[in-house]
Amino acid sequence: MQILVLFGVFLITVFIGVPIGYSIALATLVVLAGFTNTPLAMITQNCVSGVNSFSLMAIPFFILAGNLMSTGGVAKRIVNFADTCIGWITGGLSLVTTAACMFFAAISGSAMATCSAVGAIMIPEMEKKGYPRPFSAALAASAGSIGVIIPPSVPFVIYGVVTGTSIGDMFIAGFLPGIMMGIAIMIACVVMSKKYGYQGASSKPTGRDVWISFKDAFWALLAPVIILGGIYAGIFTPTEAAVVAVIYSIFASVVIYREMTLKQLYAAFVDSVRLNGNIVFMVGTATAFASYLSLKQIPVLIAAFLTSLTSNPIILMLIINVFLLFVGCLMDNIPATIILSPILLPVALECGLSAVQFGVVLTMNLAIGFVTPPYGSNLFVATSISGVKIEAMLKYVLWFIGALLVVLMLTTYVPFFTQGIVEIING
Amino acid sequence: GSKDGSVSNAGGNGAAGSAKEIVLGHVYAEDHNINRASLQFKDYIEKESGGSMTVNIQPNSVLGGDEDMLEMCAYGTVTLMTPSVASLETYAADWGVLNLPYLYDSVEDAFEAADGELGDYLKSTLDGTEYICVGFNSNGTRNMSNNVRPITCIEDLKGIKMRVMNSSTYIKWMNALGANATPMGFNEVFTGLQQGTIDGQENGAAIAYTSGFNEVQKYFSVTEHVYDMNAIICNRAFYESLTDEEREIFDTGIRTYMEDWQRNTEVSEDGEYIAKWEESGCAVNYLEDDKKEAFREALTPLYEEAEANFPEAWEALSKYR
Amino acid sequence: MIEIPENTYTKMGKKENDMNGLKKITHRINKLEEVFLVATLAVCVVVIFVQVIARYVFNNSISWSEEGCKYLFVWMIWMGTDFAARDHLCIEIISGRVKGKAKLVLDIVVKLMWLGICLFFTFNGLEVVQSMMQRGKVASSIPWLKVWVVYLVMPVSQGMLSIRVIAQIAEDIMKIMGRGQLADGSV
Ligand code: NA
Ligand code: NA
Repeated sequence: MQILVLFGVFLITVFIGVPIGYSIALATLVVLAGFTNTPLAMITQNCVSGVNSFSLMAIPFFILAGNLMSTGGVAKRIVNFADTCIGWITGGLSLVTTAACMFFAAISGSAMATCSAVGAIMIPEMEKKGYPRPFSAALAASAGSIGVIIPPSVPFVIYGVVTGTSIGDMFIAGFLPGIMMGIAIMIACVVMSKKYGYQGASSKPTGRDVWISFKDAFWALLAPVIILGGIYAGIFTPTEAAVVAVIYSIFASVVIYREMTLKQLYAAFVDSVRLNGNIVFMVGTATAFASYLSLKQIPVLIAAFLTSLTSNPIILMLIINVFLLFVGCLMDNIPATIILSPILLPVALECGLSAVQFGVVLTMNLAIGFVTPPYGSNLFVATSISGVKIEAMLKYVLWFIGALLVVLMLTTYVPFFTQGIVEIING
Repeated sequence: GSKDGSVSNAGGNGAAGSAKEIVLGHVYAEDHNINRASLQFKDYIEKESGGSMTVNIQPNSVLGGDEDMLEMCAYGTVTLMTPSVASLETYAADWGVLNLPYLYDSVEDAFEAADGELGDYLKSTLDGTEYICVGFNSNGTRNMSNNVRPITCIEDLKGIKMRVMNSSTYIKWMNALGANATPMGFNEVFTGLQQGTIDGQENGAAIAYTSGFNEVQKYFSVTEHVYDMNAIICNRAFYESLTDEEREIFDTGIRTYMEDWQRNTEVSEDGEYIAKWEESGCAVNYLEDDKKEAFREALTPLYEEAEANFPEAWEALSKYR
Repeated sequence: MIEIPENTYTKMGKKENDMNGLKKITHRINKLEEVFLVATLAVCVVVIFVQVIARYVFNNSISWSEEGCKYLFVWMIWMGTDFAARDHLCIEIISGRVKGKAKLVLDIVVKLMWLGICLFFTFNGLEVVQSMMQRGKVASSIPWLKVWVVYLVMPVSQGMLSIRVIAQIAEDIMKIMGRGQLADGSV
């Protein structure tokens, strides 16, 4: 009954148009007041404690850096360089976007940060080269999901701590599936480009063309090297790296390229604080929602129900995948990981998966959830940076979800890609 | 709004029932001894009370860290919790004395102080608040690990970037020992060690091992600098709502499982986890007792400061040193 | 509501001419919020950057930087919900298909629900802050900072947002009653 009312209120309010972050809070409030003695103050407290996180701050900073890079001429040069190299292939720039997401994934542990960092740069640039905005937004949202699979990854660390799985092994295990997600999305890009007629934008380059565009893009190409190198050399945490990216892009666009006015700089800051207010705050209300579920042991009930359905491991894993995809439609990945991994892991172990493999499968399911409505954080980021409605993106997102589902099935049923690699590396 | 009201009335309050629900929240993994103690406490309470009290365990920080749960505990969302004593320092500054290193010579002295006058005094600092401290258990003997060199004497700590909790006392003493104290949230420590943002950390052997720090550390030094405690904190209104009979059962359950069983298990498992650090390839060394004197000397200004700021707590504590 | 302007800063500049008294006040509040939020973000950028420099160049950490920035961030986020009041993410599957007066009525219903939860946050937030003031909890690395100041953002931001939503509802009602000329269509 409680579950019915909870999801009922949430879905009804969301679909008639109440802001999504507030729908989550409203649904939690209704069940808390209606069915429990739990103090209502829990909601307000969680709304603050849920966003009181240093790691979360990477989001506005990467968005700011992305904004600065796309208005300050930095992104333009990266894109020109990439375009010179592979832009002539059918759908080349969409491949460039996917590759950029994979590259940022190696810097950032968060899908939203990856989506925003790459999306803010590439969506306007792709539009200039003739791609429809909804396609570019859908691509940035989908490829951004790779951010939590290619290490470092925040959900992997959380999963490792919650279940006692080696985090080092998780980081090894995520690498190949992350690359596979990138390849699957690239294949979808090429197929869609053929279907919808997106052409390569330029002619085949000469060596001289490549050298000229490389020289022009040198400072721009140095940016990811500094950020990536900085994190791996231990000079800064991801949040600090995001700040360094901001400072660097101000330096590059104001001092070196001299293509940014103070007014544009200010406008980029305004765009970032706006995003805090319409997206990041949802992490707070989602935390309250997750606390309620946990207090009422609702995830435990769901897990018991799952195991009562069948004893066939292949079917059971399929059910778990479908369930996780469903959860991903409604919930943020972090609270979902915290609540569900200890409950579902024993079921997965029984099905013959290793803890490491299941960690990647769970995270990938919830990563696909970043682009499934109604609650899809990458969709929100993509909407916010592109101005495209979510509904307009869905037609394209479906293609990418299809491609990612293939990788999900391979990761679920072929242990080699995760556990196998870990065993090879560990000897 | 008014709409909320109508829905809630239709639903009724039946689900809450008449049993008194103890929501027991903690930050430890399911196989950690605090969770195993919690499960035994749950069994005992539910059996002995004949169902008039139920225990709802919320492990693994699912409701948030100690600081978040302490706020929830003020309202009774969480009824019972075992926060590290360090997190109570921000509510009542006296608790900070427990965060100083090398206060005691043995873990037995530390437990004795907690069960004796020091514990009584600290409990009294929570009078008039929403909290009541019903006991103390062990958060492990804190040791240091790092990637620079084994800690064999105080000079070895010089310049090492050591992660500490967000506690002003920990920051102060770590700097006083010559290290470079870097406050950081627990969930960021693994990545910090892996990427070298920090060189080392200090924690109980068990929690550090189960969090995977052994994978990203070279040296484990048994410094035994703090015999760390958790306070067992209950929501005061809930505790006072218990009948005499229920309170008897509650108190016994706390003493038997959350205190005695947990402390014994923690102490006996400590050695096992140090062995696991060694097995996983870390160089383990034991800080010799006579080398601890130099640490105490460096900390003297902080001991004196604590004595001046918190005379009552310090006096109680000194009886067990 | 789902349409998010790319650069509202320049848009707001254009609107300045044809504004009545109420609009002017709203505009001034928006401007104040904007400057506050941008300044907060800029402070965080500077503090964290200085922290990185301090740690690597001077081998010295700033103990309060992480906690201080987190608290500024909490204020940034929740004040942002008021600043971004026009830009909140909504699914328009139903409301996008309704036209005319029916759409206005649906809008009012939606906004009443939104108002309900905003008012809850305002008053519940006040209770939480009051209770925290009694507990007197301080920030761990900034001992002079009382933590209720951080939670104060809930009643402040959600109270301001409530007023904004009430004004929007009032405007919708006027439109239904046929006095739509008051609105400039931007609500
Ligand atoms: Na990543
Ligand atoms: Na989703």
